[in-house]
Amino acid sequence: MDEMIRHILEILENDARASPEEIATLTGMSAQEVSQTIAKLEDTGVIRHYKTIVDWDLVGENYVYAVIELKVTLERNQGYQAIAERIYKFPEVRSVRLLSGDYDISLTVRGK
Amino acid sequence: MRPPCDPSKFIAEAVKSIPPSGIRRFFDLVSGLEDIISLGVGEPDFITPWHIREMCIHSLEKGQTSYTSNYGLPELRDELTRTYYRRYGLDYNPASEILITTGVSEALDIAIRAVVNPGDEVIVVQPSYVAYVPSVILAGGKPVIVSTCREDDFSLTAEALKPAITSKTKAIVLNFPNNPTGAIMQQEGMEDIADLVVENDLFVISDEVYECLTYEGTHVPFSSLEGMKDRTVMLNGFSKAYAMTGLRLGFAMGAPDIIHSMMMIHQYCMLCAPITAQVGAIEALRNGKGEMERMVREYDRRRHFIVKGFNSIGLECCNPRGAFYAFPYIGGTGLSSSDFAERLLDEKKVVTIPGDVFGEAGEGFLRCAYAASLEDIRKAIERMGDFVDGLKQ
Ligand SMILES: Cc1ncc(COP(=O)(O)O)c(C=O)c1O
Repeated sequence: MDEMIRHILEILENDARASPEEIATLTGMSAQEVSQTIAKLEDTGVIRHYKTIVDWDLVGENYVYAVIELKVTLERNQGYQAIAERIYKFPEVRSVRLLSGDYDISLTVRGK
Repeated sequence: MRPPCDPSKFIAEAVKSIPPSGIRRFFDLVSGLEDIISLGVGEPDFITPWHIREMCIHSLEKGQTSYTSNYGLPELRDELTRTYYRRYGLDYNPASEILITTGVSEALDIAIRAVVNPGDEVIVVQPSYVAYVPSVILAGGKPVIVSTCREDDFSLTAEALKPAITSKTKAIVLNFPNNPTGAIMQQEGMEDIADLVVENDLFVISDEVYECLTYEGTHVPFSSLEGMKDRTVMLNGFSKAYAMTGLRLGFAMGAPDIIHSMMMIHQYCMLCAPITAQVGAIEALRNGKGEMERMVREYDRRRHFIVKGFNSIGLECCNPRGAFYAFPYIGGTGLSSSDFAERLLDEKKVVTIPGDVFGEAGEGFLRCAYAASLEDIRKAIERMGDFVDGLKQ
Protein backbone atom coordinates (compact mmCIF):
# COMPACT_ATOMS: atom_id res chain seq x y z
CA MET A 1 0.00 0.00 0.00
CA ASP A 2 1.08 3.53 -0.79
CA GLU A 3 2.58 5.15 2.34
CA MET A 4 0.48 8.28 1.86
CA ILE A 5 -2.75 6.31 1.60
CA ARG A 6 -1.84 4.58 4.83
CA HIS A 7 -1.26 7.96 6.50
CA ILE A 8 -4.62 9.28 5.30
CA LEU A 9 -6.52 6.19 6.42
CA GLU A 10 -4.88 6.18 9.85
CA ILE A 11 -5.69 9.86 10.36
CA LEU A 12 -9.33 9.47 9.27
CA GLU A 13 -9.81 6.29 11.24
CA ASN A 14 -8.83 8.26 14.31
CA ASP A 15 -10.75 11.42 13.42
CA ALA A 16 -13.29 11.24 10.61
CA ARG A 17 -13.61 15.02 10.62
CA ALA A 18 -9.96 15.77 9.87
CA SER A 19 -10.07 18.23 6.97
CA PRO A 20 -7.99 17.87 3.80
CA GLU A 21 -6.00 20.92 4.95
CA GLU A 22 -5.25 19.32 8.31
CA ILE A 23 -4.28 16.07 6.67
CA ALA A 24 -2.08 17.99 4.26
CA THR A 25 -0.24 19.58 7.18
CA LEU A 26 0.36 16.21 8.77
CA THR A 27 1.61 14.48 5.66
CA GLY A 28 3.34 17.14 3.61
CA MET A 29 0.93 16.55 0.69
CA SER A 30 -1.11 19.35 -0.84
CA ALA A 31 -4.74 19.69 0.27
CA GLN A 32 -5.82 19.06 -3.29
CA GLU A 33 -3.87 15.79 -3.48
CA VAL A 34 -5.43 14.75 -0.18
CA SER A 35 -8.96 15.52 -1.42
CA GLN A 36 -8.39 13.60 -4.61
CA THR A 37 -6.98 10.61 -2.76
CA ILE A 38 -9.88 10.58 -0.31
CA ALA A 39 -12.40 10.78 -3.16
CA LYS A 40 -10.73 7.78 -4.78
CA LEU A 41 -10.76 5.85 -1.50
CA GLU A 42 -14.47 6.61 -1.12
CA ASP A 43 -15.23 5.60 -4.70
CA THR A 44 -13.45 2.31 -4.43
CA GLY A 45 -15.17 1.51 -1.14
CA VAL A 46 -11.98 1.51 0.94
CA ILE A 47 -13.58 4.25 3.02
CA ARG A 48 -17.04 2.86 3.60
CA HIS A 49 -18.63 5.42 5.83
CA TYR A 50 -17.96 8.15 8.40
CA LYS A 51 -19.40 7.53 11.85
CA THR A 52 -19.74 9.27 15.17
CA ILE A 53 -19.05 7.57 18.45
CA VAL A 54 -21.81 8.61 20.86
CA ASP A 55 -21.83 8.19 24.59
CA TRP A 56 -25.57 7.55 24.96
CA ASP A 57 -25.27 7.23 28.73
CA LEU A 58 -24.51 10.93 28.99
CA VAL A 59 -27.82 11.91 27.43
CA GLY A 60 -29.73 9.54 29.67
CA GLU A 61 -30.21 6.71 27.21
CA ASN A 62 -29.29 3.75 29.33
CA TYR A 63 -28.77 1.03 26.81
CA VAL A 64 -27.67 -2.42 27.77
CA TYR A 65 -25.71 -4.67 25.50
CA ALA A 66 -25.75 -8.45 25.25
CA VAL A 67 -23.67 -10.92 23.34
CA ILE A 68 -25.70 -13.84 22.03
CA GLU A 69 -24.22 -16.96 20.54
CA LEU A 70 -26.39 -19.01 18.22
CA LYS A 71 -26.26 -22.52 16.89
CA VAL A 72 -28.31 -22.81 13.73
CA THR A 73 -29.53 -25.61 11.56
CA LEU A 74 -29.23 -24.80 7.90
CA GLU A 75 -32.24 -25.22 5.64
CA ARG A 76 -31.83 -26.43 2.13
CA ASN A 77 -30.41 -23.82 -0.26
CA GLN A 78 -29.73 -21.42 2.58
CA GLY A 79 -26.22 -20.64 3.79
CA TYR A 80 -25.07 -18.89 6.96
CA GLN A 81 -24.80 -15.68 5.00
CA ALA A 82 -28.55 -15.58 4.36
CA ILE A 83 -29.34 -16.18 8.03
CA ALA A 84 -26.87 -13.53 9.11
CA GLU A 85 -28.46 -11.07 6.72
CA ARG A 86 -31.94 -11.77 8.09
CA ILE A 87 -30.81 -11.30 11.65
CA TYR A 88 -28.95 -8.12 10.86
CA LYS A 89 -32.13 -6.41 9.68
CA PHE A 90 -33.30 -6.05 13.28
CA PRO A 91 -32.25 -2.58 14.41
CA GLU A 92 -31.29 -3.85 17.86
CA VAL A 93 -28.57 -5.94 16.32
CA ARG A 94 -25.25 -4.07 16.36
CA SER A 95 -22.98 -6.74 14.96
CA VAL A 96 -23.13 -10.22 13.51
CA ARG A 97 -20.16 -12.52 13.22
CA LEU A 98 -19.86 -15.96 11.73
CA LEU A 99 -17.93 -18.26 14.02
CA SER A 100 -16.21 -21.58 13.84
CA GLY A 101 -16.35 -23.79 16.89
CA ASP A 102 -19.25 -24.62 19.22
CA TYR A 103 -21.50 -21.87 17.88
CA ASP A 104 -22.17 -20.63 14.37
CA ILE A 105 -23.11 -17.01 14.85
CA SER A 106 -22.34 -14.37 17.48
CA LEU A 107 -24.52 -11.28 17.82
CA THR A 108 -24.31 -8.17 19.90
CA VAL A 109 -27.67 -6.60 20.57
CA ARG A 110 -28.57 -3.31 22.16
CA GLY A 111 -31.72 -2.71 24.18
CA LYS A 112 -33.05 -0.73 27.11
CA MET B 1 35.51 10.65 69.70
CA ARG B 2 36.51 10.30 66.08
CA PRO B 3 36.46 13.54 64.10
CA PRO B 4 33.63 14.30 61.62
CA CYS B 5 34.53 14.15 57.96
CA ASP B 6 33.60 15.86 54.75
CA PRO B 7 32.87 13.02 52.31
CA SER B 8 33.13 15.30 49.28
CA LYS B 9 36.91 15.17 49.50
CA PHE B 10 36.76 11.52 48.43
CA ILE B 11 35.18 12.34 45.10
CA ALA B 12 37.37 11.77 42.09
CA GLU B 13 38.61 14.75 40.08
CA ALA B 14 37.22 13.35 36.84
CA VAL B 15 33.73 13.21 38.31
CA LYS B 16 33.99 16.71 39.74
CA SER B 17 34.96 18.02 36.33
CA ILE B 18 31.73 16.83 34.69
CA PRO B 19 29.31 19.68 34.15
CA PRO B 20 25.76 19.05 35.45
CA SER B 21 23.29 17.92 32.80
CA GLY B 22 21.45 20.95 31.46
CA ILE B 23 18.41 18.78 30.88
CA ARG B 24 18.18 17.75 34.53
CA ARG B 25 18.49 21.35 35.65
CA PHE B 26 15.53 22.14 33.47
CA PHE B 27 13.36 19.37 34.81
CA ASP B 28 14.03 20.61 38.31
CA LEU B 29 12.52 23.95 37.28
CA VAL B 30 9.40 22.20 36.05
CA SER B 31 8.55 20.02 39.01
CA GLY B 32 5.55 21.29 40.90
CA LEU B 33 4.16 23.48 38.11
CA GLU B 34 0.69 22.79 36.67
CA ASP B 35 -0.83 22.98 33.18
CA ILE B 36 2.56 22.31 31.70
CA ILE B 37 3.03 21.10 28.15
CA SER B 38 6.26 19.26 27.74
CA LEU B 39 8.26 18.98 24.56
CA GLY B 40 11.19 18.31 26.85
CA VAL B 41 11.80 14.63 27.33
CA GLY B 42 13.40 12.59 24.60
CA GLU B 43 11.17 9.64 25.24
CA PRO B 44 8.34 8.10 23.21
CA ASP B 45 4.88 8.93 24.52
CA PHE B 46 3.82 5.44 23.47
CA ILE B 47 3.78 2.49 25.80
CA THR B 48 5.77 -0.58 24.76
CA PRO B 49 3.55 -2.55 22.33
CA TRP B 50 1.41 -5.07 24.20
CA HIS B 51 2.76 -8.17 22.46
CA ILE B 52 6.22 -7.26 23.73
CA ARG B 53 5.02 -6.56 27.26
CA GLU B 54 3.00 -9.77 27.18
CA MET B 55 6.09 -11.75 26.24
CA CYS B 56 7.98 -10.19 29.16
CA ILE B 57 5.14 -11.06 31.53
CA HIS B 58 4.99 -14.59 30.19
CA SER B 59 8.72 -15.04 30.74
CA LEU B 60 8.33 -13.91 34.34
CA GLU B 61 5.45 -16.33 34.83
CA LYS B 62 7.66 -19.11 33.54
CA GLY B 63 10.29 -18.08 36.06
CA GLN B 64 12.84 -16.76 33.56
CA THR B 65 14.65 -14.60 36.10
CA SER B 66 18.24 -15.79 35.85
CA TYR B 67 21.43 -14.18 34.61
CA THR B 68 22.12 -14.70 30.93
CA SER B 69 25.41 -15.12 29.12
CA ASN B 70 27.56 -12.00 29.54
CA TYR B 71 27.06 -11.41 25.83
CA GLY B 72 23.28 -11.73 26.13
CA LEU B 73 20.77 -14.40 25.14
CA PRO B 74 21.97 -16.32 22.05
CA GLU B 75 18.47 -16.14 20.50
CA LEU B 76 18.55 -12.37 20.73
CA ARG B 77 21.98 -12.15 19.12
CA ASP B 78 20.84 -14.54 16.37
CA GLU B 79 17.79 -12.38 15.79
CA LEU B 80 19.97 -9.24 15.57
CA THR B 81 22.27 -10.92 13.06
CA ARG B 82 19.28 -11.83 10.90
CA THR B 83 17.76 -8.36 11.24
CA TYR B 84 20.89 -6.50 10.15
CA TYR B 85 21.56 -8.92 7.35
CA ARG B 86 18.04 -8.45 6.07
CA ARG B 87 18.06 -4.66 6.43
CA TYR B 88 21.54 -3.82 5.14
CA GLY B 89 23.29 -7.00 4.12
CA LEU B 90 25.56 -6.53 7.16
CA ASP B 91 26.93 -9.79 8.46
CA TYR B 92 27.71 -9.86 12.20
CA ASN B 93 28.64 -13.13 13.85
CA PRO B 94 26.24 -13.63 16.79
CA ALA B 95 28.88 -15.53 18.74
CA SER B 96 31.60 -12.90 18.67
CA GLU B 97 30.47 -9.62 17.19
CA ILE B 98 27.40 -8.69 19.23
CA LEU B 99 27.10 -7.64 22.86
CA ILE B 100 23.74 -7.02 24.55
CA THR B 101 23.89 -4.08 26.96
CA THR B 102 21.79 -2.19 29.45
CA GLY B 103 20.67 0.47 27.02
CA VAL B 104 22.79 2.39 24.56
CA SER B 105 23.92 4.32 27.63
CA GLU B 106 25.97 1.41 28.88
CA ALA B 107 27.15 0.45 25.40
CA LEU B 108 28.44 3.99 24.91
CA ASP B 109 30.31 4.02 28.20
CA ILE B 110 32.03 0.68 27.68
CA ALA B 111 32.77 1.32 24.01
CA ILE B 112 34.62 4.48 24.97
CA ARG B 113 36.36 2.84 27.90
CA ALA B 114 37.34 -0.08 25.67
CA VAL B 115 39.33 2.08 23.27
CA VAL B 116 40.42 5.24 25.10
CA ASN B 117 43.78 5.50 26.85
CA PRO B 118 44.44 8.44 29.19
CA GLY B 119 45.17 11.49 27.06
CA ASP B 120 43.64 10.12 23.87
CA GLU B 121 41.54 12.62 22.00
CA VAL B 122 38.02 11.66 21.07
CA ILE B 123 36.11 13.80 18.61
CA VAL B 124 32.54 14.54 19.62
CA VAL B 125 30.32 16.10 16.99
CA GLN B 126 27.96 18.70 18.46
CA PRO B 127 25.15 19.58 18.91
CA SER B 128 24.70 16.08 20.28
CA TYR B 129 23.49 13.88 23.06
CA VAL B 130 24.64 15.00 26.49
CA ALA B 131 26.38 11.75 27.48
CA TYR B 132 29.25 11.79 25.00
CA VAL B 133 31.54 14.39 26.54
CA PRO B 134 31.21 13.11 30.14
CA SER B 135 31.77 9.52 29.00
CA VAL B 136 35.02 10.54 27.30
CA ILE B 137 36.14 12.50 30.37
CA LEU B 138 35.34 9.62 32.74
CA ALA B 139 37.41 7.31 30.55
CA GLY B 140 40.37 9.68 30.93
CA GLY B 141 40.13 10.88 27.34
CA LYS B 142 40.04 14.40 26.03
CA PRO B 143 36.88 15.40 24.18
CA VAL B 144 37.50 17.51 21.09
CA ILE B 145 34.42 19.25 19.78
CA VAL B 146 33.50 19.54 16.12
CA SER B 147 30.43 21.60 15.34
CA THR B 148 27.79 21.11 12.71
CA CYS B 149 25.68 24.01 11.55
CA ARG B 150 22.28 24.90 10.21
CA GLU B 151 23.72 25.76 6.78
CA ASP B 152 24.74 22.11 6.38
CA ASP B 153 21.43 20.87 7.80
CA PHE B 154 23.51 19.83 10.82
CA SER B 155 25.19 16.98 9.00
CA LEU B 156 28.92 16.50 9.43
CA THR B 157 31.26 17.56 6.65
CA ALA B 158 34.80 16.37 6.08
CA GLU B 159 35.90 20.05 5.99
CA ALA B 160 34.59 20.59 9.51
CA LEU B 161 36.07 17.35 10.80
CA LYS B 162 39.54 17.59 9.29
CA PRO B 163 41.02 20.45 11.37
CA ALA B 164 40.07 18.71 14.62
CA ILE B 165 42.13 15.62 13.89
CA THR B 166 45.57 15.48 15.53
CA SER B 167 48.14 12.77 16.08
CA LYS B 168 46.42 12.05 19.39
CA THR B 169 42.96 11.50 17.93
CA LYS B 170 41.82 7.98 18.64
CA ALA B 171 38.14 7.89 17.88
CA ILE B 172 35.13 9.83 16.77
CA VAL B 173 31.59 9.61 18.14
CA LEU B 174 28.87 9.96 15.52
CA ASN B 175 25.13 10.15 16.08
CA PHE B 176 22.89 10.16 13.04
CA PRO B 177 19.89 10.44 13.06
CA ASN B 178 20.87 13.08 15.57
CA ASN B 179 19.59 14.11 18.96
CA PRO B 180 18.88 17.11 19.17
CA THR B 181 18.86 18.29 15.54
CA GLY B 182 17.09 15.40 13.79
CA ALA B 183 19.81 15.53 11.12
CA ILE B 184 20.72 12.49 9.10
CA MET B 185 23.76 11.93 6.88
CA GLN B 186 23.64 11.21 3.17
CA GLN B 187 25.80 8.35 1.99
CA GLU B 188 28.04 10.71 -0.02
CA GLY B 189 28.93 12.79 3.01
CA MET B 190 29.55 9.65 5.02
CA GLU B 191 31.97 8.34 2.41
CA ASP B 192 34.03 11.52 2.80
CA ILE B 193 34.12 10.99 6.56
CA ALA B 194 35.11 7.36 6.01
CA ASP B 195 38.06 8.48 3.85
CA LEU B 196 39.27 10.74 6.65
CA VAL B 197 38.83 7.94 9.16
CA VAL B 198 41.07 5.66 7.12
CA GLU B 199 43.65 8.35 6.35
CA ASN B 200 44.04 9.10 10.04
CA ASP B 201 43.56 5.57 11.29
CA LEU B 202 40.61 6.39 13.55
CA PHE B 203 37.97 4.32 15.27
CA VAL B 204 34.27 5.20 14.99
CA ILE B 205 31.65 4.90 17.70
CA SER B 206 28.36 5.26 15.88
CA ASP B 207 25.29 5.77 18.05
CA GLU B 208 22.42 4.79 15.76
CA VAL B 209 19.69 4.55 18.36
CA TYR B 210 17.33 6.55 16.11
CA GLU B 211 17.97 4.32 13.09
CA CYS B 212 14.36 3.24 12.67
CA LEU B 213 13.13 6.79 13.04
CA THR B 214 14.31 7.91 9.63
CA TYR B 215 11.54 9.61 7.70
CA GLU B 216 13.22 10.72 4.51
CA GLY B 217 15.67 8.57 2.64
CA THR B 218 17.00 5.38 4.15
CA HIS B 219 19.34 4.99 7.07
CA VAL B 220 22.90 4.03 6.20
CA PRO B 221 24.79 2.38 9.06
CA PHE B 222 28.32 3.76 9.18
CA SER B 223 29.62 0.19 9.37
CA SER B 224 27.98 -0.64 6.04
CA LEU B 225 30.36 1.68 4.19
CA GLU B 226 33.15 -0.10 2.43
CA GLY B 227 36.00 -0.92 4.79
CA MET B 228 34.26 0.52 7.85
CA LYS B 229 32.87 -2.60 9.53
CA ASP B 230 35.98 -3.39 11.56
CA ARG B 231 36.66 0.27 12.35
CA THR B 232 33.21 0.94 13.71
CA VAL B 233 31.27 -0.12 16.73
CA MET B 234 27.57 0.38 16.07
CA LEU B 235 25.50 1.16 19.14
CA ASN B 236 21.79 0.75 19.06
CA GLY B 237 18.89 -0.25 21.23
CA PHE B 238 15.21 -0.72 21.76
CA SER B 239 14.34 2.46 23.72
CA LYS B 240 13.24 4.65 20.85
CA ALA B 241 12.09 2.36 18.02
CA TYR B 242 10.02 0.08 20.25
CA ALA B 243 9.17 2.55 23.02
CA MET B 244 11.09 0.45 25.55
CA THR B 245 13.06 3.15 27.41
CA GLY B 246 12.48 1.82 30.91
CA LEU B 247 13.30 -1.75 29.97
CA ARG B 248 16.92 -0.67 29.43
CA LEU B 249 18.10 -2.64 26.46
CA GLY B 250 20.73 -1.90 23.89
CA PHE B 251 23.45 -3.62 21.93
CA ALA B 252 26.81 -3.10 20.32
CA MET B 253 27.99 -4.63 17.06
CA GLY B 254 31.59 -4.60 15.94
CA ALA B 255 34.79 -6.50 15.36
CA PRO B 256 35.36 -9.49 17.69
CA ASP B 257 38.33 -7.82 19.45
CA ILE B 258 36.33 -4.71 20.22
CA ILE B 259 33.23 -6.58 21.34
CA HIS B 260 35.32 -8.89 23.48
CA SER B 261 37.04 -5.93 25.16
CA MET B 262 33.71 -4.29 25.81
CA MET B 263 32.47 -7.56 27.27
CA MET B 264 35.48 -7.60 29.61
CA ILE B 265 34.22 -4.37 31.17
CA HIS B 266 30.54 -5.29 30.92
CA GLN B 267 31.01 -8.61 32.73
CA TYR B 268 32.24 -6.78 35.84
CA CYS B 269 30.15 -3.64 35.84
CA MET B 270 26.88 -5.10 34.56
CA LEU B 271 27.33 -8.87 34.29
CA CYS B 272 24.47 -9.05 31.82
CA ALA B 273 21.53 -7.00 30.60
CA PRO B 274 18.17 -7.67 32.29
CA ILE B 275 16.76 -10.95 31.04
CA THR B 276 13.13 -9.78 30.94
CA ALA B 277 14.07 -6.97 28.59
CA GLN B 278 16.09 -9.36 26.43
CA VAL B 279 13.06 -11.60 26.04
CA GLY B 280 10.99 -8.59 25.07
CA ALA B 281 13.61 -7.55 22.56
CA ILE B 282 13.50 -10.94 20.84
CA GLU B 283 9.75 -10.51 20.45
CA ALA B 284 10.25 -6.94 19.19
CA LEU B 285 12.61 -8.12 16.45
CA ARG B 286 10.50 -11.12 15.49
CA ASN B 287 7.03 -9.57 15.46
CA GLY B 288 7.33 -5.87 16.24
CA LYS B 289 7.79 -4.39 12.79
CA GLY B 290 4.13 -3.51 12.24
CA GLU B 291 3.69 -1.71 15.56
CA MET B 292 7.03 0.03 15.21
CA GLU B 293 6.18 1.31 11.76
CA ARG B 294 2.82 2.50 13.02
CA MET B 295 4.56 4.58 15.71
CA VAL B 296 7.05 5.90 13.18
CA ARG B 297 4.22 7.03 10.89
CA GLU B 298 2.63 8.81 13.83
CA TYR B 299 5.91 10.61 14.60
CA ASP B 300 6.21 11.49 10.95
CA ARG B 301 2.83 13.25 10.97
CA ARG B 302 3.73 15.16 14.11
CA ARG B 303 7.02 16.09 12.46
CA HIS B 304 5.27 17.68 9.50
CA PHE B 305 2.91 19.43 11.85
CA ILE B 306 5.51 20.85 14.24
CA VAL B 307 7.91 22.05 11.54
CA LYS B 308 5.12 23.85 9.73
CA GLY B 309 3.94 25.22 13.08
CA PHE B 310 7.31 26.69 14.01
CA ASN B 311 7.82 28.27 10.64
CA SER B 312 4.31 29.76 10.81
CA ILE B 313 5.05 31.52 14.11
CA GLY B 314 8.29 32.91 12.75
CA LEU B 315 10.72 30.42 14.27
CA GLU B 316 12.72 29.15 11.36
CA CYS B 317 12.99 25.39 11.58
CA CYS B 318 14.86 23.21 9.15
CA ASN B 319 13.47 19.86 8.28
CA PRO B 320 14.51 17.14 10.75
CA ARG B 321 14.75 13.96 8.71
CA GLY B 322 15.14 11.58 11.63
CA ALA B 323 14.74 11.04 15.40
CA PHE B 324 11.84 12.84 17.09
CA TYR B 325 13.20 16.32 17.64
CA ALA B 326 12.63 19.64 15.94
CA PHE B 327 15.36 22.22 16.42
CA PRO B 328 13.94 25.66 15.63
CA TYR B 329 16.19 28.71 15.48
CA ILE B 330 15.28 31.28 18.12
CA GLY B 331 18.37 33.47 17.77
CA GLY B 332 16.37 36.04 15.80
CA THR B 333 14.35 36.92 18.91
CA GLY B 334 17.42 38.36 20.61
CA LEU B 335 17.17 35.94 23.50
CA SER B 336 19.71 33.26 24.31
CA SER B 337 18.53 29.67 24.21
CA SER B 338 18.35 29.33 27.96
CA ASP B 339 16.64 32.71 28.47
CA PHE B 340 14.11 31.79 25.81
CA ALA B 341 13.45 28.35 27.29
CA GLU B 342 13.24 29.63 30.86
CA ARG B 343 10.92 32.51 30.03
CA LEU B 344 8.79 30.28 27.83
CA LEU B 345 8.39 27.91 30.73
CA ASP B 346 7.73 30.70 33.16
CA GLU B 347 5.28 32.68 31.06
CA LYS B 348 3.62 30.06 28.88
CA LYS B 349 4.27 26.78 30.69
CA VAL B 350 5.87 25.05 27.74
CA VAL B 351 8.92 22.90 28.38
CA THR B 352 11.62 22.85 25.74
CA ILE B 353 15.33 22.26 26.09
CA PRO B 354 17.78 25.09 25.34
CA GLY B 355 20.02 24.09 22.46
CA ASP B 356 23.29 24.98 24.21
CA VAL B 357 22.74 22.03 26.54
CA PHE B 358 23.89 19.93 23.56
CA GLY B 359 27.03 21.97 23.04
CA GLU B 360 27.91 25.52 22.13
CA ALA B 361 26.88 24.88 18.55
CA GLY B 362 23.33 24.50 19.82
CA GLU B 363 23.17 28.09 21.11
CA GLY B 364 20.40 29.97 19.35
CA PHE B 365 18.24 26.86 19.04
CA LEU B 366 15.65 25.02 21.04
CA ARG B 367 15.15 21.27 21.18
CA CYS B 368 11.49 20.35 20.98
CA ALA B 369 10.64 16.66 21.18
CA TYR B 370 7.58 15.79 19.15
CA ALA B 371 7.14 12.50 20.94
CA ALA B 372 4.06 14.16 22.43
CA SER B 373 0.41 14.04 21.40
CA LEU B 374 -0.65 16.14 18.43
CA GLU B 375 -3.00 18.00 20.74
CA ASP B 376 -0.14 18.97 23.04
CA ILE B 377 2.04 19.97 20.13
CA ARG B 378 -0.76 22.14 18.75
CA LYS B 379 -1.18 23.89 22.12
CA ALA B 380 2.56 24.28 22.58
CA ILE B 381 2.91 25.98 19.19
CA GLU B 382 0.03 28.33 20.00
CA ARG B 383 1.59 29.30 23.29
CA MET B 384 4.99 29.71 21.71
CA GLY B 385 3.43 31.87 18.99
CA ASP B 386 1.96 34.12 21.70
CA PHE B 387 5.30 34.23 23.43
CA VAL B 388 7.18 35.20 20.28
CA ASP B 389 4.59 37.87 19.47
CA GLY B 390 4.97 39.22 23.00
CA LEU B 391 8.72 39.57 22.51
CA LYS B 392 8.21 41.79 19.49
CA GLN B 393 6.26 44.38 21.47
C1 LIG C 1 21.51 9.81 20.98
C2 LIG C 1 21.14 8.98 22.14
N1 LIG C 1 21.93 7.95 22.49
C3 LIG C 1 21.63 7.17 23.55
C4 LIG C 1 20.52 7.41 24.33
C5 LIG C 1 20.25 6.51 25.49
O1 LIG C 1 19.54 5.39 25.08
P1 LIG C 1 19.23 4.16 26.01
O2 LIG C 1 17.84 4.34 26.55
O3 LIG C 1 19.29 2.98 25.08
O4 LIG C 1 20.24 4.08 27.07
C6 LIG C 1 19.67 8.47 24.00
C7 LIG C 1 18.48 8.76 24.83
O5 LIG C 1 17.94 9.83 24.83
C8 LIG C 1 19.99 9.26 22.88
O6 LIG C 1 19.22 10.29 22.52
